[in-house]
Amino acid sequence: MNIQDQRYTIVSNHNRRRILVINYLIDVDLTPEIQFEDFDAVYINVMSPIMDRNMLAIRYASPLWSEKCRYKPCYVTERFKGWLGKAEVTVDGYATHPLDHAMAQGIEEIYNNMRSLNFLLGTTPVVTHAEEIFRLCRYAISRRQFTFSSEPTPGLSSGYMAVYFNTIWNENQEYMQMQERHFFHNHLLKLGYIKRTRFIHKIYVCPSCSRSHLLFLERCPKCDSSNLHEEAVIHHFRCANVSPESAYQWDDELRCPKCKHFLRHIGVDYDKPSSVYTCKECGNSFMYPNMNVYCTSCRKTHTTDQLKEVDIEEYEFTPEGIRAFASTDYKLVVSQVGFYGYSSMRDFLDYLRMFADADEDTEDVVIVGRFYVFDPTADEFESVYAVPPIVQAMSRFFNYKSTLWGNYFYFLRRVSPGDIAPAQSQMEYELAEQFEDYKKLHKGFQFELVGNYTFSRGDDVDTFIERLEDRRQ
Amino acid sequence: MLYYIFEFIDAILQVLSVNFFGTGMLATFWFLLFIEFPRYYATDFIVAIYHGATFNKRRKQREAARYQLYLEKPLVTILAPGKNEGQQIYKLVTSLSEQTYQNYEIIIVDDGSDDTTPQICRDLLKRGYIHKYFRMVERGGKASAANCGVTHATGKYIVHLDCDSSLDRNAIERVLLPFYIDRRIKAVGGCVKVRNSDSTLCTSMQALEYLRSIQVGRMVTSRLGIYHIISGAFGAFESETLREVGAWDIGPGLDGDITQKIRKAGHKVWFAEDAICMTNVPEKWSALFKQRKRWSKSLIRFRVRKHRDILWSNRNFSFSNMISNLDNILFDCAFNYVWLFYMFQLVLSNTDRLVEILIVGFILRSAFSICAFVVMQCISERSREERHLGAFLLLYTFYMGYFMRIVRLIGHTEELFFRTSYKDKWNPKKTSDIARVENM
Repeated sequence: MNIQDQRYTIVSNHNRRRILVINYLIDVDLTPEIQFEDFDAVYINVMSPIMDRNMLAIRYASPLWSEKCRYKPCYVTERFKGWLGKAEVTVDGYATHPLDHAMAQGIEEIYNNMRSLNFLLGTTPVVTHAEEIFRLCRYAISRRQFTFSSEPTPGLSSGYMAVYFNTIWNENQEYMQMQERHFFHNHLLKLGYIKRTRFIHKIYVCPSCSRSHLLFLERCPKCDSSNLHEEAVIHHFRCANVSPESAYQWDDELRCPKCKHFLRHIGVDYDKPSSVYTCKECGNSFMYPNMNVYCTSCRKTHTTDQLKEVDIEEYEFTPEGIRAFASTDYKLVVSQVGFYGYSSMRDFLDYLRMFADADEDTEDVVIVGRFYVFDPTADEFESVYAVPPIVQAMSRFFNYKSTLWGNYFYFLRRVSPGDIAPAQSQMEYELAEQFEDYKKLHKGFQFELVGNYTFSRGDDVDTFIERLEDRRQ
Repeated sequence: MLYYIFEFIDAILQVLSVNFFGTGMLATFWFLLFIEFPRYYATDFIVAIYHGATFNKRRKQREAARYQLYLEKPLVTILAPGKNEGQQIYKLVTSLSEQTYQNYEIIIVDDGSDDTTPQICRDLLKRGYIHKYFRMVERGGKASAANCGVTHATGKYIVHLDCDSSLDRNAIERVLLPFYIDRRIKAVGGCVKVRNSDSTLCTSMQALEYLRSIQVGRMVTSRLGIYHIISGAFGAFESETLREVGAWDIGPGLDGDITQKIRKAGHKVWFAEDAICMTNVPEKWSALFKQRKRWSKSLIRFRVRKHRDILWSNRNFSFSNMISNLDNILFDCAFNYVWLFYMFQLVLSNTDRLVEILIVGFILRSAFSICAFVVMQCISERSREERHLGAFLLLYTFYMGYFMRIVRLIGHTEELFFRTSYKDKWNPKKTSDIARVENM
């Protein structure tokens, strides 16, 4: 039987490296016949006419997402060349065949590198979002990617791609939002695990959601319309008349509306010292339109002054950082509070406690949404299986913190008091959308919104937590 | 010592007895008595009496006009063109925010400033202190900047201000009232006074001069129907009329020119002596000399050359316009040459008693000045604050009688024979070149 006829197979190359060849879409982690120790590298040879299936195959066998493929060299068939887009950075290379010589060489290089760094290959399953971030750093080091510069990258919410590139599966997704990056970098810098190597850019992001998907709109200062027309202003030297260019139009020539003389030579008869905007809605004329910024992510409008400045810098792992991450000996307990995204239930409740105790001068409140997930068709429903896709999907909402306890998903979001009702509806809608997507992939999966809760500063946090836990029990 | 003093007084008395009683006095001081006195002292005095006598009538008219103004409450455009005036604009908008009449839009036109004016203005725009700000990247002259503002003005009336002006709380309201007193009035001049009057002797002299020639002088010409200059520092125009006459032409002397254009178009202009605008004047004599020379040149350029047609019959001939222009040409220009002739004649024919004659002339002139000052005090709305300027009256005689005449003579002569106004840096070269070529 040809190896291409099987769903997957394991072959050995001339360096005695066992290569898992995947010919059809399989979820490696959910395939009990395949164990972590069974193979050293992955070759993805799926050739579905549906590109999404091919991508999913890569994802299921990715050294970043799959527990069993973790950090192992991953090659894909050469037919995918040019089709992977930004996901290309998550594979180690292309090969025509699993026993390809160049691929074998590449695999050896990766292993040699890991050996030289005393890189521990095995991992414990990742549970929280913060742990996921550490693993990204380890992956980067395993590929000798010690410098993580921020490359301007279209499609990413921050506009830049750094070391956290693994989650660019769907183009709009990034694990770490701008403020999280900043927080994380500061931690690593403090520990001496990274150092700044150069400043790249100062960029401006949305003050509400820290994303860079911004539309700059010129608006009329009077009626706020962006239906504007800009034209030059002409100064006629002879009579000192100053009017917009259209007032001078006379067939194909320029003729002064005041003294009726023709304007023939710029610099001699006239000049154009300025330009002026005219609003087509209200007729207002002005020189400096108001510049508003519309965030396509959170759909809020801000002025340019309100935009948040962010310095994009290049970092490099220090030898100490490389050693620590390679040996999983990092003394890094990143506060879960600093990160949005998925966390343990304990961290989730700690966040609430810290929010209650914080001496902040804002009136923000925390809203919590709770979903019950179950599968009536399954004998044993493992709700934890729903975590990665849902966390992954939710990562594009920068301000959600989520956790799973039993069959309950909790989502938390911090909002201003005036935004409670719209934020709750938005959260409910967005989460339902994500669960619906997951439902399409997993038949039998059901979910139900159990309730929305609001926690204000001054409320008794223990009573609030009890309310959540009572319901949970 | 005493001997010499008594000798001197005796000589003066002798001069007085021989020359200054009867025909001798007229022959010696004919310039003062036949030219200056009737025009500047007697007329002022008579009109001031009339002004006082009609106080109640005017008050009632003003009240009715005020009612009309607030009933209609038209939008007023306040237009302030200028170059490198950023520092002054904040003071201007602050004084405007205190105005009793509040339905206005402020347009600042920056005529190619090369300092921090653009930053200041954009900041003021952002904060809502001003409503529109236009910037000419290249300097085009004050007229073009003002015209740019007119193009974008949306108010029914346009109030033109200098950026370094500040207004009394009711100045905008008061400058608008004449439009509602007489519907034929299409332009109103405000009264400009000196803010820095106590800075130097030079500014104190100018403060007196402004009181005399603007507050009283223009009130008089306005009542006589020959008011011929709406000050660029503070003037109000009906927008439609301003556009109809094509707004401002190339300077210098824009303010006189625009007033003349409006008069020629058959409209009435008025002076509001109670609408007060304060402005800074030059503190140094050299700066004052340059400024007045420029003003003098503009008289030749506009009254004598550009608007000379006003003096004889044309299709828009108006007697009052002719008198208005003639008054300006004769008393501010031609009679200066007559004065020069008079002075020469006086010196040559009275070499032996020249000092005595000059002293008597000085005493006469000072006496007239004191009378004029009394008139100023009667007219002025802040006579108490301005009373201290009376201390400068004796020096004022020299200032107006000699210094100003000499400056004007130089200015007029330069312009008449050498056309030096076209080389003046007050206007950019590109516009001056065109004006010279076109003989404007």
